[in-house]
Amino acid sequence: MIVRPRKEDHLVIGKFTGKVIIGVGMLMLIPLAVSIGFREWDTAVDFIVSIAACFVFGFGVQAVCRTAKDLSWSHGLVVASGSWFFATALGALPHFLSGHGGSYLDMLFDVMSGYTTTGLYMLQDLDHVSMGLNMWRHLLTYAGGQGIVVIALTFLFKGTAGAYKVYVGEGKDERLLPNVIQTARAIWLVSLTWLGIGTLFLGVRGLMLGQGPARAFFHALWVFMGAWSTGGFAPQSYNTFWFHDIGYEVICIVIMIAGSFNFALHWAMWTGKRSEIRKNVETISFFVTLSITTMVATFFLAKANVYPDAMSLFRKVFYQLVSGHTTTGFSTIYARAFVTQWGPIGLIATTVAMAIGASACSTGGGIKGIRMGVISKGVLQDIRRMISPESAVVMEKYHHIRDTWLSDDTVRAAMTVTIAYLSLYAIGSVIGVLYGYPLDQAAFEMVSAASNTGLSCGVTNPLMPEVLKITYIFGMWLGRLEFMSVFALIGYGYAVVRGK
Amino acid sequence: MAGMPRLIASKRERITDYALGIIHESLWILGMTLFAFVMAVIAMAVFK
Repeated sequence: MIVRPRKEDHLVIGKFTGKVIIGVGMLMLIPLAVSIGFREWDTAVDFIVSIAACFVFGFGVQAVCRTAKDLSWSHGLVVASGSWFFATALGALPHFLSGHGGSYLDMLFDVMSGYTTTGLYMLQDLDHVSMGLNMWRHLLTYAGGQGIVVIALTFLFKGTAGAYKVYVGEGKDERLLPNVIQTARAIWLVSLTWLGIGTLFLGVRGLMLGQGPARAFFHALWVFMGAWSTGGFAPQSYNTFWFHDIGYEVICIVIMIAGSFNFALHWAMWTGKRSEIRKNVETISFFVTLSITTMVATFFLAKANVYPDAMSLFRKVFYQLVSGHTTTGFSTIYARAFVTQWGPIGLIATTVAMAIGASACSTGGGIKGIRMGVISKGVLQDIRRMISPESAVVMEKYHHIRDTWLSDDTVRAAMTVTIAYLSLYAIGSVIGVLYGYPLDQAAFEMVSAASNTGLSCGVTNPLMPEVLKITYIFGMWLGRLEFMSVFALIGYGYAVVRGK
Repeated sequence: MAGMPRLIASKRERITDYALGIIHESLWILGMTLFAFVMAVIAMAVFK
């Protein structure tokens, strides 16, 4: 029997969802300040209206939902996915009011793409977007990378025992420190330190390339946010191709890969466990799969004579594959070049890299390196069991921060999520094919959306079918939150209607 | 107390640890890039 949620359940979910939306409104103060600084008065008004909408919603819901009850596990999951839903609906207001969007659905697409660190976009005339809106786009992706719930945990959820449940609901389950709020702050310490260093390096490179100080600083900040959060947004329609500079690309590669690392790995490295990066199952898995996909793509593109020399070939292949594998979405080739120049093998290699994705508890998406590592170890364990005497006890272990014995439960959990991702990729690809796109392109675009990568082979544009836009929005949302909290929200809605 | 983890580190020690951590991460990434380059060159050489 499905139990209908009680009034207390609605109140506690409403109260904490309101807190997260207030956090979104507070975040909009930053682009508002940028708009005022650059005297973009129309954009400033857009943000004032949007902030007001967030505060009216957030404070209004909190005023209505007064309760002393703390969050349970199911509440935490519903708050996480529900917050993302409302944060997207309200976060799209500045985009829509700017006049750069074709429809509100297109702007919802952009904002969900930002929060989920995907990087696909529908915004029109991107090269002439205001500084304030550009700041908002990149801030969305930077905040989404750490998790909008992590922001709320850092600033708004003081002393709440149920905070860990919302944190887990956002697809993160590592505790860097014993307390979840300290963990959220440690995540911010890592991200903000990298923000300072990355922006400095990119800014200096921008100045060397001839950009003015203000432009160099803002481009560096935004490109950093796009790379670190594995979001893939950039201030120009040509993405990082616009810079035409190997120095900029090398800095981006370092930031993209660092951004795709598990925050627990960063924290271990930062607290003296330097050998962790060589032993961790996720970095080993990333190293192996990136090397294999690079070799395969290089081999076939060399055969196709697409690039004039070895260095150009490696520069293009490695950058796109790092971008795909870390689920960033930066590119230094035209979108259609994936189809017209790279061909099926290049498309498939990039699709595989995107599907596997980055590390768990990172800013990235996809199936995740740890699951690939656990499943590989599980297969090895089974093979060893088969060739060992019946009485032998075969145990396998993997290293992630500490050595852990591999259990059947761990392998089953990794397989469950992997199958969920593969099913999502397949369903979206079939919908793309039903709308007349070739299978390889439909699969590339759906995997890009659901793994929160953002590379495009040209399918995503404002003229694509609306059903496909909605499919990609759901794909981004499900992929980022890793299914459970979205299923919990759907189950909650069902229980409200059909429960007893 | 050699080999024992430091439970309380001074601010300077923590900042040094953070900086060394970032440098180590960056060098590992650049090393991996170099490795991938060598692998790509081998892949191209095999083709030719």
